[in-house]
Amino acid sequence: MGNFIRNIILFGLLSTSLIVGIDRFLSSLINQHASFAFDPAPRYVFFGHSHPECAYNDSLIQDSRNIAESSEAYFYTYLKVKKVLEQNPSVETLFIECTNNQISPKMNDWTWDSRHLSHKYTKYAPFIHLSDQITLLLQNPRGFLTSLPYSIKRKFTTVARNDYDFSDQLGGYKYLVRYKTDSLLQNLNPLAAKDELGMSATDSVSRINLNYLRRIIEIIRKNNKHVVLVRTPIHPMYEGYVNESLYKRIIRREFSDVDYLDFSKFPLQNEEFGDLGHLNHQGAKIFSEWFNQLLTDSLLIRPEKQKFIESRMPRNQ
Amino acid sequence: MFSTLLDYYTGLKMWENKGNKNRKKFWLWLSVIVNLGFLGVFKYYNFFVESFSEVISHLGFQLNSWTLDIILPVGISFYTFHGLSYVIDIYNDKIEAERNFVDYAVFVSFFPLLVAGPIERATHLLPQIKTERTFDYDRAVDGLRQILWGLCKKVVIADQCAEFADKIFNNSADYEGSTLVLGSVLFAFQIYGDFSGYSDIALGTARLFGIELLRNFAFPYFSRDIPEFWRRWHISLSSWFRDYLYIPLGGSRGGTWSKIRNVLIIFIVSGFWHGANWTFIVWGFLNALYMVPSVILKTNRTNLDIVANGRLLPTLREVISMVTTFCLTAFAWIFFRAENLDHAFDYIARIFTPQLFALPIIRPTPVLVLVVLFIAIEWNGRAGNYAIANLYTKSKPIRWSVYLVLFLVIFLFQGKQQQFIYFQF
Repeated sequence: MGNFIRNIILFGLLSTSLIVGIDRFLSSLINQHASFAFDPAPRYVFFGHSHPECAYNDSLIQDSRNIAESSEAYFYTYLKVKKVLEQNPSVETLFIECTNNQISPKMNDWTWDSRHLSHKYTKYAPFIHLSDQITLLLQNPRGFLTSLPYSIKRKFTTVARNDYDFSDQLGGYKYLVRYKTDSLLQNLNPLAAKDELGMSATDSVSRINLNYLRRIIEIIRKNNKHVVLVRTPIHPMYEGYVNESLYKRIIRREFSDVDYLDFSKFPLQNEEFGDLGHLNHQGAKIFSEWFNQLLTDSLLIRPEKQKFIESRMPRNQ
Repeated sequence: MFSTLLDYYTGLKMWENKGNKNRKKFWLWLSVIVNLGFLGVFKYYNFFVESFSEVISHLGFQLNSWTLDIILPVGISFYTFHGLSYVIDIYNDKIEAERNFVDYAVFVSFFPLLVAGPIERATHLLPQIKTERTFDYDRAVDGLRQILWGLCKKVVIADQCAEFADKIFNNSADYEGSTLVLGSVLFAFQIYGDFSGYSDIALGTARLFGIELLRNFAFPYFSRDIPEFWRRWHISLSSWFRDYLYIPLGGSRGGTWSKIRNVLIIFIVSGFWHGANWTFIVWGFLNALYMVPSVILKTNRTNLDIVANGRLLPTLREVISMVTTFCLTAFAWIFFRAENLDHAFDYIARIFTPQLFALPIIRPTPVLVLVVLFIAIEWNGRAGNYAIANLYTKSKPIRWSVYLVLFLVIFLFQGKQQQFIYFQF
């Protein structure tokens, strides 16, 4: 019996080492060759989740690149920021979306629930530090272990195809065609806020998301680049507004050292929204052209940026 | 619990009335009726009510059918057959009644076989339960090896095939010809990997406890004719029907017509055992039809040995026989997998279109590569109890390398989690 148990333990250790060894080997190969360099080289890069993904049409904003991606928690944005900074010296300013739902407990799910792990973890696994992998494993062991084989397979495919160009896999402007704002307004669902922000939306926050936002800010500063937190336009009836006072408090208390630009009140018609949180392509066109003009008018070097923005708001002029 | 208590009690009563045939018969019939009654209520009641009301409505009458909204108890088909074999064996004086209730309850509900078999016999399992068992290193290692192979069959082959088989069967109206053929082939491997994988895991687990369960699969897709297939597929169920239904009906003792009748009966009952749906009955009937030629020609016991025994490759004749048998079986699986008869007939009709000779629209190349590798491993190990059973003859480094590779394959090539198909029965 003793021999039997010894051999089982030995087999367990061997097989675990084999998997970890293969995983690490593939990760290190990918890390050596991975390319995040953008062509053409941008000066401005937009990061965040689906709000900026649908709002910044980078073809209308000079020298910019939108690499926001839907359902992205700061845990994964941090990896992207790090790699973009390493390989894109042309980048001057990084716009990081920071809106109401990004402080909410829902972001914990976006970081480690099984659905998000299966998509985000498998994609960014080669670049995730071991300690961060352990965090994911401890938070959701089953989800992590289910995603692990897929991530190894994805790494293997990357190596086998010799395709290390990640610059086109990081996200990008989404040309949203839909328009369902009016129908949403007619059937306002009292539970929509919980869907958007998670439980205890008005009085609790996702600490891991805020910690990673802080890490994003630190690493950008370490690279002597300009970091700007932004809130893209949202509909006045946006479900996430229920935590507005908490949101404002967090921005004021924890991120007062960072430039913060609030475009949430940018005036748009209902038909220019895809839904209450996202601009459709019409709204994105109007906003992006206006935003481009702000950049041309030296928004980023002005001392009172928010006042300047408000003074230039289309219907406030 | 009630079923276990009933069979335990009726078993004792029959044993007490050993000399009194009428009393024995009474207790036997009580057990049979109650056991089949449970099965009938839980599994078949709704089917009969709905079928009856459908027939009535075809005759122009309307009937408010009263169906039950109940959950089928897990493994009911399996433990009912355990109990029935026990009481019938006592009635036939093949075994003594078990006096120790705990031992009897372990026989009925031994956890590796509770939900999906193999269907055990009291004559085989009860003596093992009553014997004191000691740890046997080689047996335990063999058990783990069989579990590893079973996991590989289930998680890699069955679950990978299931993804595409489900896609094709669930959207069969969108496909034609070769794509639908591919769907039925993938389902054939799904159900084999799923059920034989489960059986391997059950047998391996039992072996860790020092118990040998009945073998359930013996490389059925290498069968050269349908009778051989049925000697190699779900062996514990086939032999149950042979011993408790086919032989009491007269078996192969009567004339040709009575043999054909008996074959039809056991295959239709076997189909019905799988589920309360006409698709299973047609599946059973189709397999009975496949059996008829060999019954008439008395060739049903032609292929009793292992195919190409002692040779690396089969002859052309053997290949043709195996492929033909597989095609017939895969065709019958269409009924087993379809939602209803309309779906099955529509699926078959869509196969026979000009698209039959074109390349399938869905081409799951990695899955097909895995299936080919799987067939090669099974072929190589077809003389053993399971495909990698003979690995123990190899040196330790080779054995461990194979285990590690299998573990890696399971880890990396696992399909999306699917429930075991036979859990529903």
